[in-house]
Amino acid sequence: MRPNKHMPAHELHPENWVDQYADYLFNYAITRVSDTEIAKDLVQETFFAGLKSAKNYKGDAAERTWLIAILKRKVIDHYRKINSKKGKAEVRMSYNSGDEDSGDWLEEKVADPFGKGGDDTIENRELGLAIQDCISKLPKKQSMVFSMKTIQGMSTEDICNELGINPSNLWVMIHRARTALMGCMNQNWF
Amino acid sequence: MMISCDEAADICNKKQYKEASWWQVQKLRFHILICKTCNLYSTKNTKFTSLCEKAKLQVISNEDKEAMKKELEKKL
Repeated sequence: MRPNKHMPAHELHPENWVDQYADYLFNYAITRVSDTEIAKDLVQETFFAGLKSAKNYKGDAAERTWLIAILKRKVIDHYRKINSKKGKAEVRMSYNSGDEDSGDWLEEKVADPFGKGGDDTIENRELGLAIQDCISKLPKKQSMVFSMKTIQGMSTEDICNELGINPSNLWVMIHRARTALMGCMNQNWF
Repeated sequence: MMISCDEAADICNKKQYKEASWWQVQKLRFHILICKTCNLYSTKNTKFTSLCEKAKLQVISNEDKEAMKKELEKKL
C-alpha cells in the first residue's frame, strides 16, 4: 500500500513504552551518567516528557528515536542541574589545571555524548545498544527469560519459579532467543 | 556418545551459562567434530556470549518496570 501523504509514518503507543524501550533507554542513559538510579530516573522523566509533548509528535521519526531525542535533552538538563557554581569549581579542578580558556567541562561532556572514552568504549556502547535493540524485537516472554538469565545472571531455578515455567521451557526459550538475536545482530559484530 | 543436532544445540546453550556437565560437553565436542552446521552454531553462540559480556548490558528489574508503568498509567 502506498503511504498516505497525510498519514503519519509512526504512531505513539505510550502503554507499551516501558516494555519496549525502558531497557534500551536505560542502557543509553547509563553510559552517559554512570549511575543506575539517576539513569532510571532519567528514563522515567523521558516517558513523562514524552506524554506531555505527545501532541507535538508528527510521526516522522520512529517512536524510539523520538524518545531518545527527549532523553538526550534530559541528560543535558541533568548535567546543567549539577553544574552549580560549587560543583563547577570542583569539577574544573580535576579537569584542567591552570588554563583559564579550558572551557566548560560539562558542556563539552554533553556535546560529545561518548565522553572522553577511547574507541573500545565507544564500540562497547554501540554494541550494547545493538544487542538491546535486538532484544526489544523478541517476543516478550523470550526477551524476559533471556534478560533474566543472561543480563541479570539469575539461576534457572529462580527464573522458573518466578515465571511459572519448567527448565525445558526455559531452555527452549533461551535457544529461540539466542538464535533470533544472533540473526538480528549485524554480521559485522561476529 | 552420539547425540542429535537438537541435543547438541541444547548442550551448547547450557554451556554458555556454565550449566552443561563435563560429560555433556564431551558429547558436544564429539558432535561438532563431525557436524559442520553445529560447529558453526557453536562458534557463533560462544562469540555471542562474549559480545554480551563485552557490552556490559544492564536492565531495569521487573519490579522497577512495574512501578514505572504504574506511574505512567497515572498520567495517561
